[in-house]
Amino acid sequence: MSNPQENEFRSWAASARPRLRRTAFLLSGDWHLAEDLTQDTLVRIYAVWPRVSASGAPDSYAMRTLVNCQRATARRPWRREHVVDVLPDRMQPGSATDAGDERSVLLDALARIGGSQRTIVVLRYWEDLSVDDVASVLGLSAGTVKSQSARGLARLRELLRDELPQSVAAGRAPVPPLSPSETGETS
Amino acid sequence: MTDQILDEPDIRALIARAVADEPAYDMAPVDALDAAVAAGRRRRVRGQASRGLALVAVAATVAGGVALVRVPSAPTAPNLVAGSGSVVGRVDAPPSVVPSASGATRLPSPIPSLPNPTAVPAVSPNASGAVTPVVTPTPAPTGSGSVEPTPPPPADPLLLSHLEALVRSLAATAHGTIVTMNHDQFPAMLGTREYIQTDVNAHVTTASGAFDLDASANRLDAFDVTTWRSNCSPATGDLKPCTVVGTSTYDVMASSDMGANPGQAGRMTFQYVAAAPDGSTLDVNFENYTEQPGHLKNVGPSWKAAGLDYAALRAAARANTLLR
Repeated sequence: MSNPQENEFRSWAASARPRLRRTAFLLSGDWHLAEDLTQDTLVRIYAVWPRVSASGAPDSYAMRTLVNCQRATARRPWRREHVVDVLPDRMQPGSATDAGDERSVLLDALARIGGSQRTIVVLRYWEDLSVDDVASVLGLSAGTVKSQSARGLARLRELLRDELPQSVAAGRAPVPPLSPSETGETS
Repeated sequence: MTDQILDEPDIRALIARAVADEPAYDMAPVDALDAAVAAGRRRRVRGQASRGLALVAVAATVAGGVALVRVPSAPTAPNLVAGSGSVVGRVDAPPSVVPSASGATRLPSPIPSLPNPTAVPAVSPNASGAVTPVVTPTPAPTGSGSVEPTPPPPADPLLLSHLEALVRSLAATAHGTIVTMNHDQFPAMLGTREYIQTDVNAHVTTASGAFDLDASANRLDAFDVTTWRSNCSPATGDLKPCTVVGTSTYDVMASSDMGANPGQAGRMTFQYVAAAPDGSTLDVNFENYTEQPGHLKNVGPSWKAAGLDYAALRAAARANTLLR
Protein backbone atom coordinates (compact mmCIF):
# COMPACT_ATOMS: atom_id res chain seq x y z
CA MET A 1 0.00 0.00 0.00
CA SER A 2 1.32 3.42 -0.90
CA ASN A 3 2.01 6.08 1.67
CA PRO A 4 -0.93 8.27 0.66
CA GLN A 5 -3.23 5.28 0.93
CA GLU A 6 -1.85 4.42 4.33
CA ASN A 7 -2.29 7.98 5.49
CA GLU A 8 -5.81 7.93 4.16
CA PHE A 9 -6.49 4.75 6.10
CA ARG A 10 -5.05 6.22 9.29
CA SER A 11 -7.16 9.31 8.94
CA TRP A 12 -10.32 7.31 8.33
CA ALA A 13 -9.56 4.83 11.10
CA ALA A 14 -8.91 7.58 13.64
CA SER A 15 -12.33 9.05 12.97
CA ALA A 16 -14.19 5.75 12.67
CA ARG A 17 -12.71 4.03 15.69
CA PRO A 18 -14.84 5.61 18.45
CA ARG A 19 -18.03 4.94 16.56
CA LEU A 20 -17.07 1.36 15.77
CA ARG A 21 -16.15 0.78 19.39
CA ARG A 22 -19.49 2.03 20.71
CA THR A 23 -21.40 -0.06 18.21
CA ALA A 24 -19.25 -3.07 19.05
CA PHE A 25 -20.05 -2.51 22.70
CA LEU A 26 -23.78 -2.56 22.03
CA LEU A 27 -23.38 -5.72 19.97
CA SER A 28 -21.18 -7.49 22.52
CA GLY A 29 -22.02 -5.86 25.87
CA ASP A 30 -18.36 -5.69 26.89
CA TRP A 31 -16.06 -2.72 26.41
CA HIS A 32 -12.88 -4.80 26.30
CA LEU A 33 -14.35 -7.16 23.76
CA ALA A 34 -15.62 -4.14 21.87
CA GLU A 35 -12.08 -2.82 21.62
CA ASP A 36 -10.84 -6.18 20.35
CA LEU A 37 -13.62 -6.28 17.77
CA THR A 38 -12.83 -2.76 16.67
CA GLN A 39 -9.16 -3.54 16.31
CA ASP A 40 -9.90 -6.73 14.40
CA THR A 41 -12.20 -4.77 12.11
CA LEU A 42 -9.53 -2.16 11.43
CA VAL A 43 -6.95 -4.85 10.72
CA ARG A 44 -9.26 -6.52 8.21
CA ILE A 45 -10.08 -3.24 6.55
CA TYR A 46 -6.44 -2.20 6.31
CA ALA A 47 -5.69 -5.38 4.42
CA VAL A 48 -8.20 -4.47 1.72
CA TRP A 49 -8.12 -0.70 2.10
CA PRO A 50 -7.40 0.17 -1.54
CA ARG A 51 -10.52 -1.71 -2.59
CA VAL A 52 -12.63 -0.39 0.29
CA SER A 53 -11.48 3.14 -0.30
CA ALA A 54 -12.21 2.89 -4.00
CA SER A 55 -15.73 1.70 -3.23
CA GLY A 56 -16.44 5.06 -1.62
CA ALA A 57 -18.31 3.55 1.31
CA PRO A 58 -15.73 2.52 3.91
CA ASP A 59 -18.14 3.12 6.80
CA SER A 60 -20.69 0.73 5.41
CA TYR A 61 -18.02 -1.88 4.74
CA ALA A 62 -16.65 -1.37 8.24
CA MET A 63 -20.06 -1.92 9.78
CA ARG A 64 -20.50 -5.13 7.82
CA THR A 65 -17.05 -6.31 8.85
CA LEU A 66 -17.71 -5.46 12.48
CA VAL A 67 -20.95 -7.42 12.48
CA ASN A 68 -19.17 -10.41 10.93
CA CYS A 69 -16.34 -10.19 13.47
CA GLN A 70 -18.85 -10.11 16.31
CA ARG A 71 -20.71 -13.12 14.96
CA ALA A 72 -17.49 -15.06 14.49
CA THR A 73 -16.41 -14.20 18.01
CA ALA A 74 -19.75 -15.24 19.47
CA ARG A 75 -19.39 -18.63 17.75
CA ARG A 76 -16.04 -19.43 19.31
CA PRO A 77 -16.25 -22.31 21.75
CA TRP A 78 -14.99 -20.37 24.73
CA ARG A 79 -17.83 -17.89 24.30
CA ARG A 80 -20.49 -20.54 24.61
CA GLU A 81 -22.22 -21.85 27.67
CA HIS A 82 -20.07 -23.18 30.45
CA VAL A 83 -20.76 -24.74 33.81
CA VAL A 84 -20.23 -22.62 36.92
CA ASP A 85 -20.44 -23.41 40.61
CA VAL A 86 -22.39 -20.32 41.55
CA LEU A 87 -25.01 -18.65 39.45
CA PRO A 88 -24.15 -15.04 38.64
CA ASP A 89 -26.11 -12.32 40.37
CA ARG A 90 -28.96 -10.93 38.35
CA MET A 91 -31.00 -7.86 38.99
CA GLN A 92 -34.50 -8.30 40.32
CA PRO A 93 -37.27 -6.89 38.13
CA GLY A 94 -38.02 -3.28 38.96
CA SER A 95 -34.90 -2.81 41.03
CA ALA A 96 -33.07 -0.51 38.66
CA THR A 97 -32.49 2.74 40.44
CA ASP A 98 -29.90 4.77 38.61
CA ALA A 99 -28.23 5.19 35.29
CA GLY A 100 -25.82 2.33 35.90
CA ASP A 101 -28.66 -0.04 36.62
CA GLU A 102 -30.57 1.23 33.64
CA ARG A 103 -27.53 0.52 31.49
CA SER A 104 -27.25 -2.99 32.90
CA VAL A 105 -30.91 -3.61 32.24
CA LEU A 106 -30.63 -2.45 28.65
CA LEU A 107 -27.50 -4.48 27.94
CA ASP A 108 -29.04 -7.53 29.54
CA ALA A 109 -32.15 -7.06 27.42
CA LEU A 110 -30.09 -6.64 24.26
CA ALA A 111 -28.18 -9.80 25.11
CA ARG A 112 -31.41 -11.68 25.61
CA ILE A 113 -32.93 -10.72 22.28
CA GLY A 114 -29.63 -11.72 20.71
CA GLY A 115 -28.71 -12.62 17.17
CA SER A 116 -29.82 -10.62 14.20
CA GLN A 117 -32.55 -8.82 16.13
CA ARG A 118 -29.97 -7.29 18.43
CA THR A 119 -27.84 -6.29 15.47
CA ILE A 120 -30.82 -4.77 13.67
CA VAL A 121 -31.96 -2.83 16.73
CA VAL A 122 -28.46 -1.45 17.27
CA LEU A 123 -27.97 -0.53 13.62
CA ARG A 124 -31.38 1.09 13.33
CA TYR A 125 -31.64 2.88 16.66
CA TRP A 126 -28.02 3.63 17.45
CA GLU A 127 -26.35 3.84 14.08
CA ASP A 128 -29.51 5.44 12.72
CA LEU A 129 -29.33 3.45 9.52
CA SER A 130 -32.40 3.24 7.35
CA VAL A 131 -34.18 -0.05 6.71
CA ASP A 132 -32.55 -0.30 3.30
CA ASP A 133 -29.08 0.42 4.70
CA VAL A 134 -29.47 -2.23 7.39
CA ALA A 135 -30.69 -4.65 4.75
CA SER A 136 -27.60 -3.90 2.71
CA VAL A 137 -25.22 -4.35 5.64
CA LEU A 138 -26.77 -7.66 6.71
CA GLY A 139 -27.57 -8.99 3.26
CA LEU A 140 -31.26 -9.30 4.05
CA SER A 141 -34.34 -7.98 2.33
CA ALA A 142 -35.97 -4.82 3.63
CA GLY A 143 -39.08 -6.77 4.62
CA THR A 144 -37.11 -9.04 6.89
CA VAL A 145 -35.36 -6.06 8.48
CA LYS A 146 -38.75 -4.49 9.19
CA SER A 147 -40.21 -7.63 10.71
CA GLN A 148 -37.10 -8.43 12.75
CA SER A 149 -36.94 -4.84 13.89
CA ALA A 150 -40.56 -5.00 15.04
CA ARG A 151 -39.97 -8.28 16.85
CA GLY A 152 -36.76 -7.00 18.42
CA LEU A 153 -38.52 -3.88 19.69
CA ALA A 154 -41.39 -5.95 21.01
CA ARG A 155 -38.97 -8.11 22.95
CA LEU A 156 -37.12 -5.10 24.25
CA ARG A 157 -40.37 -3.57 25.43
CA GLU A 158 -41.31 -6.77 27.16
CA LEU A 159 -37.94 -7.12 28.83
CA LEU A 160 -37.51 -3.47 29.74
CA ARG A 161 -41.02 -2.69 30.86
CA ASP A 162 -40.76 -4.87 33.91
CA GLU A 163 -37.22 -4.00 34.80
CA LEU A 164 -36.81 -0.30 34.22
CA PRO A 165 -37.83 1.94 37.11
CA GLN A 166 -40.87 4.10 36.64
CA SER A 167 -38.77 7.24 36.57
CA VAL A 168 -36.58 6.09 33.73
CA ALA A 169 -39.20 5.53 31.09
CA ALA A 170 -41.84 7.89 32.38
CA GLY A 171 -39.43 10.72 32.94
CA ARG A 172 -37.85 10.36 29.52
CA ALA A 173 -34.61 11.88 30.67
CA PRO A 174 -32.84 14.00 28.09
CA VAL A 175 -30.45 12.17 25.85
CA PRO A 176 -26.84 13.11 26.50
CA PRO A 177 -25.11 14.93 23.67
CA LEU A 178 -23.52 11.83 22.27
CA SER A 179 -24.05 10.31 18.89
CA PRO A 180 -22.23 7.91 16.64
CA SER A 181 -21.26 10.78 14.42
CA GLU A 182 -18.89 12.06 17.06
CA THR A 183 -15.44 11.46 15.86
CA GLY A 184 -13.15 12.61 18.64
CA GLU A 185 -11.03 10.09 20.49
CA THR A 186 -11.61 10.03 24.20
CA SER A 187 -8.15 9.09 25.27
CA MET B 1 -43.37 -1.15 36.28
CA THR B 2 -43.57 1.72 33.85
CA ASP B 3 -46.76 3.18 32.56
CA GLN B 4 -45.28 4.35 29.29
CA ILE B 5 -44.98 2.63 25.99
CA LEU B 6 -41.33 2.36 25.14
CA ASP B 7 -41.41 3.73 21.65
CA GLU B 8 -38.61 4.16 19.14
CA PRO B 9 -37.38 7.51 20.56
CA ASP B 10 -37.23 5.96 24.04
CA ILE B 11 -35.19 3.05 22.76
CA ARG B 12 -32.85 5.48 21.02
CA ALA B 13 -32.45 7.46 24.23
CA LEU B 14 -31.84 4.35 26.32
CA ILE B 15 -29.19 3.09 23.93
CA ALA B 16 -27.50 6.48 23.85
CA ARG B 17 -27.35 6.58 27.64
CA ALA B 18 -25.98 3.05 27.74
CA VAL B 19 -22.81 4.07 25.91
CA ALA B 20 -22.47 7.37 27.73
CA ASP B 21 -20.06 5.95 30.29
CA GLU B 22 -17.56 4.90 27.67
CA PRO B 23 -14.33 4.01 29.45
CA ALA B 24 -10.84 4.96 28.35
CA TYR B 25 -9.30 2.89 25.63
CA ASP B 26 -7.18 -0.12 26.51
CA MET B 27 -4.70 0.97 23.91
CA ALA B 28 -3.80 4.54 23.08
CA PRO B 29 -5.22 5.65 19.75
CA VAL B 30 -1.88 6.11 18.04
CA ASP B 31 -0.63 2.73 19.27
CA ALA B 32 -3.87 1.11 18.20
CA LEU B 33 -3.61 2.48 14.69
CA ASP B 34 0.04 1.46 14.45
CA ALA B 35 -0.88 -2.02 15.64
CA ALA B 36 -3.75 -2.22 13.17
CA VAL B 37 -1.52 -1.14 10.33
CA ALA B 38 1.18 -3.64 11.31
CA ALA B 39 -1.30 -6.48 11.70
CA GLY B 40 -3.01 -5.47 8.48
CA ARG B 41 0.31 -5.65 6.66
CA ARG B 42 0.94 -9.15 8.01
CA ARG B 43 -2.55 -10.10 6.95
CA ARG B 44 -1.99 -8.82 3.44
CA VAL B 45 1.24 -10.79 3.22
CA ARG B 46 -0.49 -13.91 4.48
CA GLY B 47 -3.30 -13.40 2.01
CA GLN B 48 -0.88 -13.03 -0.85
CA ALA B 49 1.01 -16.09 0.34
CA SER B 50 -2.21 -18.08 0.51
CA ARG B 51 -3.16 -17.08 -2.98
CA GLY B 52 0.35 -17.89 -4.13
CA LEU B 53 0.09 -21.31 -2.52
CA ALA B 54 -3.19 -21.87 -4.29
CA LEU B 55 -1.66 -20.97 -7.63
CA VAL B 56 1.24 -23.33 -6.95
CA ALA B 57 -1.25 -26.05 -6.13
CA VAL B 58 -3.09 -25.41 -9.37
CA ALA B 59 0.16 -25.46 -11.32
CA ALA B 60 1.17 -28.70 -9.64
CA THR B 61 -2.25 -30.06 -10.43
CA VAL B 62 -1.91 -29.26 -14.10
CA ALA B 63 1.54 -30.80 -14.23
CA GLY B 64 0.63 -33.90 -12.29
CA GLY B 65 -2.90 -34.56 -13.43
CA VAL B 66 -4.56 -33.75 -10.14
CA ALA B 67 -8.31 -33.57 -10.39
CA LEU B 68 -9.23 -31.57 -7.32
CA VAL B 69 -7.69 -28.65 -5.55
CA ARG B 70 -8.89 -26.52 -2.73
CA VAL B 71 -8.29 -22.82 -2.69
CA PRO B 72 -8.23 -21.16 0.70
CA SER B 73 -10.78 -18.50 1.27
CA ALA B 74 -9.34 -15.04 1.36
CA PRO B 75 -8.95 -14.11 5.01
CA THR B 76 -9.23 -10.43 4.39
CA ALA B 77 -12.51 -10.13 2.63
CA PRO B 78 -15.41 -10.93 4.91
CA ASN B 79 -18.60 -10.39 3.12
CA LEU B 80 -22.28 -10.90 3.38
CA VAL B 81 -23.81 -12.01 0.15
CA ALA B 82 -27.02 -10.20 -0.53
CA GLY B 83 -30.00 -12.15 -1.68
CA SER B 84 -29.59 -15.27 0.33
CA GLY B 85 -29.25 -13.36 3.55
CA SER B 86 -26.79 -15.90 4.75
CA VAL B 87 -23.35 -15.32 6.13
CA VAL B 88 -20.89 -16.88 3.80
CA GLY B 89 -17.21 -16.59 3.22
CA ARG B 90 -15.99 -15.04 0.10
CA VAL B 91 -13.79 -17.27 -2.00
CA ASP B 92 -11.05 -15.73 -4.04
CA ALA B 93 -10.32 -18.27 -6.70
CA PRO B 94 -8.02 -18.09 -9.69
CA PRO B 95 -9.97 -17.51 -12.86
CA SER B 96 -9.24 -20.99 -14.13
CA VAL B 97 -11.20 -22.72 -11.41
CA VAL B 98 -14.88 -22.68 -10.55
CA PRO B 99 -15.79 -22.11 -6.91
CA SER B 100 -18.53 -24.16 -5.34
CA ALA B 101 -20.73 -23.23 -2.43
CA SER B 102 -18.53 -25.05 0.03
CA GLY B 103 -15.39 -23.25 -1.01
CA ALA B 104 -13.92 -26.27 -2.73
CA THR B 105 -13.03 -25.65 -6.31
CA ARG B 106 -12.94 -28.00 -9.20
CA LEU B 107 -11.06 -27.59 -12.37
CA PRO B 108 -13.50 -26.95 -15.17
CA SER B 109 -12.58 -30.12 -17.00
CA PRO B 110 -10.39 -33.15 -16.40
CA ILE B 111 -6.79 -32.35 -17.11
CA PRO B 112 -4.99 -35.02 -19.11
CA SER B 113 -1.75 -36.19 -17.63
CA LEU B 114 1.29 -34.85 -19.32
CA PRO B 115 3.98 -37.52 -19.36
CA ASN B 116 7.41 -36.19 -18.67
CA PRO B 117 9.90 -38.29 -20.50
CA THR B 118 12.77 -37.27 -18.31
CA ALA B 119 11.18 -37.81 -14.94
CA VAL B 120 10.99 -41.10 -13.12
CA PRO B 121 7.43 -41.64 -12.02
CA ALA B 122 7.08 -42.23 -8.31
CA VAL B 123 4.15 -44.53 -8.92
CA SER B 124 3.89 -46.56 -12.06
CA PRO B 125 0.78 -45.73 -14.00
CA ASN B 126 -1.61 -48.54 -14.38
CA ALA B 127 -2.42 -50.15 -17.63
CA SER B 128 -5.27 -47.87 -18.48
CA GLY B 129 -3.19 -44.80 -17.94
CA ALA B 130 -5.58 -43.43 -15.32
CA VAL B 131 -4.10 -41.04 -12.84
CA THR B 132 -4.75 -41.42 -9.15
CA PRO B 133 -6.31 -38.18 -7.94
CA VAL B 134 -4.27 -36.35 -5.38
CA VAL B 135 -5.90 -33.84 -3.09
CA THR B 136 -3.72 -31.02 -2.05
CA PRO B 137 -3.79 -30.31 1.67
CA THR B 138 -5.89 -27.36 2.64
CA PRO B 139 -3.85 -24.71 4.39
CA ALA B 140 -4.91 -23.98 7.93
CA PRO B 141 -7.21 -21.00 8.28
CA THR B 142 -5.13 -17.90 8.56
CA GLY B 143 -7.60 -15.41 9.87
CA SER B 144 -8.59 -15.18 13.48
CA GLY B 145 -12.32 -14.95 13.69
CA SER B 146 -12.65 -15.37 9.97
CA VAL B 147 -16.11 -15.46 8.53
CA GLU B 148 -17.74 -18.86 8.47
CA PRO B 149 -17.34 -20.18 4.93
CA THR B 150 -20.12 -22.70 5.32
CA PRO B 151 -23.53 -21.50 4.25
CA PRO B 152 -26.40 -22.20 6.58
CA PRO B 153 -28.24 -25.46 6.05
CA PRO B 154 -31.17 -25.20 3.67
CA ALA B 155 -34.51 -24.72 5.30
CA ASP B 156 -37.13 -27.42 5.08
CA PRO B 157 -38.55 -26.99 1.55
CA LEU B 158 -41.97 -28.19 2.62
CA LEU B 159 -42.11 -25.64 5.40
CA LEU B 160 -40.95 -22.92 3.05
CA SER B 161 -43.63 -23.82 0.54
CA HIS B 162 -46.28 -23.65 3.26
CA LEU B 163 -45.04 -20.29 4.44
CA GLU B 164 -44.94 -18.98 0.91
CA ALA B 165 -48.46 -20.26 0.23
CA LEU B 166 -49.62 -18.58 3.42
CA VAL B 167 -48.16 -15.24 2.37
CA ARG B 168 -49.63 -15.56 -1.11
CA SER B 169 -53.08 -16.36 0.21
CA LEU B 170 -52.99 -13.38 2.60
CA ALA B 171 -51.91 -11.10 -0.24
CA ALA B 172 -54.80 -12.42 -2.30
CA THR B 173 -57.20 -11.80 0.57
CA ALA B 174 -56.04 -8.19 0.61
CA HIS B 175 -56.56 -7.98 -3.18
CA GLY B 176 -52.90 -7.08 -3.45
CA THR B 177 -50.16 -7.81 -5.91
CA ILE B 178 -46.89 -9.29 -4.71
CA VAL B 179 -44.08 -7.11 -6.03
CA THR B 180 -41.17 -8.99 -4.45
CA MET B 181 -40.91 -12.16 -2.44
CA ASN B 182 -37.77 -13.19 -0.59
CA HIS B 183 -36.53 -16.12 1.45
CA ASP B 184 -34.04 -14.79 3.98
CA GLN B 185 -31.85 -16.98 6.14
CA PHE B 186 -30.00 -15.43 9.04
CA PRO B 187 -28.56 -16.42 12.41
CA ALA B 188 -30.80 -15.96 15.40
CA MET B 189 -30.04 -16.62 19.03
CA LEU B 190 -31.82 -18.31 21.86
CA GLY B 191 -29.70 -17.64 24.89
CA THR B 192 -26.25 -18.52 23.72
CA ARG B 193 -27.46 -21.00 21.15
CA GLU B 194 -27.44 -19.97 17.55
CA TYR B 195 -29.85 -21.25 14.99
CA ILE B 196 -30.70 -20.33 11.45
CA GLN B 197 -34.05 -18.68 10.97
CA THR B 198 -35.77 -18.54 7.62
CA ASP B 199 -38.25 -15.83 6.80
CA VAL B 200 -40.51 -15.60 3.78
CA ASN B 201 -41.53 -12.05 3.12
CA ALA B 202 -43.41 -10.24 0.42
CA HIS B 203 -43.88 -6.62 -0.50
CA VAL B 204 -47.49 -6.23 -1.55
CA THR B 205 -49.14 -3.33 -3.32
CA THR B 206 -52.84 -2.58 -3.28
CA ALA B 207 -55.00 0.20 -4.61
CA SER B 208 -54.64 1.99 -1.28
CA GLY B 209 -50.89 1.58 -0.81
CA ALA B 210 -48.24 -1.00 0.04
CA PHE B 211 -47.49 -3.26 2.97
CA ASP B 212 -45.06 -6.04 3.91
CA LEU B 213 -45.96 -9.52 5.05
CA ASP B 214 -43.37 -11.69 6.73
CA ALA B 215 -43.81 -15.29 7.86
CA SER B 216 -41.43 -17.59 9.68
CA ALA B 217 -41.63 -20.77 11.71
CA ASN B 218 -39.07 -22.22 14.06
CA ARG B 219 -38.84 -24.47 17.05
CA LEU B 220 -36.55 -22.42 19.21
CA ASP B 221 -38.20 -19.05 19.49
CA ALA B 222 -39.26 -18.48 23.08
CA PHE B 223 -41.62 -15.68 22.07
CA ASP B 224 -44.61 -17.95 21.62
CA VAL B 225 -48.40 -17.72 21.80
CA THR B 226 -48.52 -17.47 25.57
CA THR B 227 -45.91 -14.74 25.69
CA TRP B 228 -47.60 -12.62 23.05
CA ARG B 229 -50.98 -13.06 24.68
CA SER B 230 -49.56 -12.02 28.02
CA ASN B 231 -47.68 -9.06 26.53
CA CYS B 232 -50.66 -7.61 24.79
CA SER B 233 -53.40 -8.19 27.36
CA PRO B 234 -54.12 -5.08 29.45
CA ALA B 235 -54.40 -7.01 32.68
CA THR B 236 -51.95 -5.06 34.81
CA GLY B 237 -53.37 -1.63 34.18
CA ASP B 238 -50.38 -0.26 32.35
CA LEU B 239 -50.51 0.90 28.79
CA LYS B 240 -49.62 -1.80 26.33
CA PRO B 241 -47.86 -1.34 23.04
CA CYS B 242 -50.20 -3.90 21.54
CA THR B 243 -53.67 -5.32 22.03
CA VAL B 244 -55.02 -8.80 21.47
CA VAL B 245 -57.45 -8.80 18.57
CA GLY B 246 -58.30 -12.48 18.70
CA THR B 247 -56.97 -15.56 20.38
CA SER B 248 -57.59 -19.23 20.91
CA THR B 249 -55.68 -21.97 22.67
CA TYR B 250 -53.17 -22.23 19.88
CA ASP B 251 -52.96 -18.79 18.31
CA VAL B 252 -53.09 -15.10 18.99
CA MET B 253 -53.29 -11.97 16.88
CA ALA B 254 -51.85 -8.82 18.43
CA SER B 255 -52.26 -5.41 16.88
CA SER B 256 -50.05 -2.37 17.42
CA ASP B 257 -51.35 1.08 16.61
CA MET B 258 -48.45 3.40 15.84
CA GLY B 259 -50.65 6.08 14.38
CA ALA B 260 -50.01 8.48 17.26
CA ASN B 261 -46.37 8.83 16.24
CA PRO B 262 -45.60 11.98 14.25
CA GLY B 263 -46.09 11.47 10.56
CA GLN B 264 -47.35 7.92 10.95
CA ALA B 265 -51.09 8.40 10.99
CA GLY B 266 -52.77 5.14 10.05
CA ARG B 267 -49.79 2.95 10.81
CA MET B 268 -51.22 -0.22 12.28
CA THR B 269 -49.35 -3.49 12.32
CA PHE B 270 -50.08 -6.95 13.59
CA GLN B 271 -48.28 -10.01 14.82
CA TYR B 272 -49.98 -13.34 14.39
CA VAL B 273 -48.45 -16.21 16.33
CA ALA B 274 -49.65 -19.79 16.17
CA ALA B 275 -48.55 -23.16 17.46
CA ALA B 276 -47.93 -25.34 14.42
CA PRO B 277 -48.69 -29.07 14.37
CA ASP B 278 -44.99 -29.98 14.23
CA GLY B 279 -44.22 -28.13 17.45
CA SER B 280 -42.78 -25.02 15.87
CA THR B 281 -44.16 -21.52 16.25
CA LEU B 282 -45.58 -19.70 13.25
CA ASP B 283 -44.96 -15.98 13.27
CA VAL B 284 -46.60 -13.63 10.77
CA ASN B 285 -45.79 -9.93 10.83
CA PHE B 286 -47.58 -7.13 8.96
CA GLU B 287 -45.95 -3.72 8.45
CA ASN B 288 -47.67 -1.00 6.48
CA TYR B 289 -44.95 1.56 5.93
CA THR B 290 -42.21 2.34 3.50
CA GLU B 291 -39.33 4.24 4.97
CA GLN B 292 -38.27 7.55 3.49
CA PRO B 293 -35.15 9.58 4.25
CA GLY B 294 -35.13 11.18 7.70
CA HIS B 295 -37.14 8.41 9.35
CA LEU B 296 -40.25 9.53 7.55
CA LYS B 297 -42.68 6.78 6.76
CA ASN B 298 -45.12 6.47 3.90
CA VAL B 299 -48.01 4.64 5.48
CA GLY B 300 -50.04 2.10 3.52
CA PRO B 301 -53.36 0.48 4.39
CA SER B 302 -53.80 -0.80 7.92
CA TRP B 303 -54.45 -4.49 8.35
CA LYS B 304 -58.10 -3.69 8.90
CA ALA B 305 -58.30 -1.77 5.66
CA ALA B 306 -56.51 -4.59 3.89
CA GLY B 307 -59.07 -7.08 5.14
CA LEU B 308 -56.57 -9.18 7.07
CA ASP B 309 -58.43 -9.85 10.28
CA TYR B 310 -58.06 -12.65 12.80
CA ALA B 311 -60.48 -14.95 10.98
CA ALA B 312 -58.58 -14.53 7.71
CA LEU B 313 -55.24 -15.25 9.34
CA ARG B 314 -56.55 -18.24 11.19
CA ALA B 315 -58.13 -19.66 8.05
CA ALA B 316 -54.94 -19.15 6.03
CA ALA B 317 -52.77 -20.74 8.72
CA ARG B 318 -55.06 -23.72 8.99
CA ALA B 319 -55.32 -24.14 5.23
CA ASN B 320 -51.55 -24.34 5.02
CA THR B 321 -51.23 -26.79 7.94
CA LEU B 322 -49.46 -24.21 10.07
CA LEU B 323 -52.00 -24.11 12.88
CA ARG B 324 -52.48 -26.94 15.31
